[in-house]
Amino acid sequence: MEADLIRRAAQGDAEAFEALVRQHEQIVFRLAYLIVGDADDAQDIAQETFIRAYHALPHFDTERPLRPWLLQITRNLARNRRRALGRYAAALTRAFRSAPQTTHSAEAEHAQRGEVQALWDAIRTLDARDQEIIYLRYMLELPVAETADILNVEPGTVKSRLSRALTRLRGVVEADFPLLAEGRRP
Amino acid sequence: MSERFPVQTPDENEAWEMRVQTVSRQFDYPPTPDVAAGVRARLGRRERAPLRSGWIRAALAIVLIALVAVLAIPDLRAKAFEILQLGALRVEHEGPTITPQPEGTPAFDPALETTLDDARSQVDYPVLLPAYPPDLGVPDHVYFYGDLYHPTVILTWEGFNTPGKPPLSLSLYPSDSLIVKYAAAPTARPVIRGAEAFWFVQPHVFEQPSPGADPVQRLIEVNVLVWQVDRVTYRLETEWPLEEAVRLAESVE
Repeated sequence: MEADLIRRAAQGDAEAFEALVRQHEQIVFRLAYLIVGDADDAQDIAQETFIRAYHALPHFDTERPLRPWLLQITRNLARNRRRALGRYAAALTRAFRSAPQTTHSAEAEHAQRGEVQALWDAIRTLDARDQEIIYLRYMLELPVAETADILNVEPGTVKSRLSRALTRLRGVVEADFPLLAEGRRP
Repeated sequence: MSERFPVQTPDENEAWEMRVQTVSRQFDYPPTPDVAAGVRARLGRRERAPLRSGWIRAALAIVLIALVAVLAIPDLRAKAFEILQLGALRVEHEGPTITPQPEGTPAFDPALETTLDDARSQVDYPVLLPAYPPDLGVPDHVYFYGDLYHPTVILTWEGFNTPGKPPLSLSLYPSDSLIVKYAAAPTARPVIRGAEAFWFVQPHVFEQPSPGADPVQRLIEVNVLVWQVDRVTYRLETEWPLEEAVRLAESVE
């Protein structure tokens, strides 16, 4: 079914292409949102993802699933967007982190915003590769094989990277997000 | 970021993974916008605009007339066709000017640093290392500028260039990707492994297109040697003279 839509879209069938966009727009938007953290930017990236896909469709192997390819484009676009904003944002982040904060105020803030937000805040302190693998596997709940496809690595590499990312995430949570860490214990 | 890596038992690891999974599932995304409508509008604009504009047709006619005039003059015709290409590298004579980065600014994005093994696992071409000079050893830093179209690996070695300047670096590109130098013609064209290579010594702007953003541009103020072997384009940035750069290039295996 999808292969047929791809073939028709590649031949210029606008309705077929729009059907593909509808099928995948939510997950594309969500991945972009997780990476850039801004809904407007994520919308722009999602649109750009499909526009690039549209122009590249004639060269796309219709035997391959479309979603990993789309998410690969999304990831690249979002990474580049974030990198473009990165220097300024990094300076702001460093300034924020260097400001003294009491454990009490941090705890109160995270409790108020909820542990989901706290988890996202913690993930966003990790490096880009750790963030992406956590987003793909846990936030978007993609299978290991599809995650591997998107990241262009072997499934075994996904597992080992994920394990390291989780360890680093746990270190961050225990140091800076104690309420979230406590929820881990029975 | 914390650098603590607590010792964990398998049970603890599993519990922590489940905790992350459980909390992640509760993530509250913004409502998904109507992406399809935006895509339809943008594609429509791109496809209709050229056809509707008489101005563009007129401009194209003027360009065509100018092109015919240029090609009618032998000297101009020779210059017009002097576009140099070597593997992934295209050399253009006219280009942007950019200001130098302050001394000490990283030449390569630290966020893209990885390991040699990881870089090798992410590209479908061999990431070979130079054996010359003998004390070069493995690279001190490896970067993967990965995307769909330009899976670039950059290897750098500290201590071979002037402190504070970009390090000695060797970049590898699949030859079907595209990088651009805005530079005069190469100063020399040595032969490396039986094929012509380009040697640049004048400062110039180097540009690596990025599919998801504006091209990345750097002002290059050191010597550059570009050569191609087996569909891989190599680009060496060094303060060494040509002879030493060629010896390094010949030693890549």
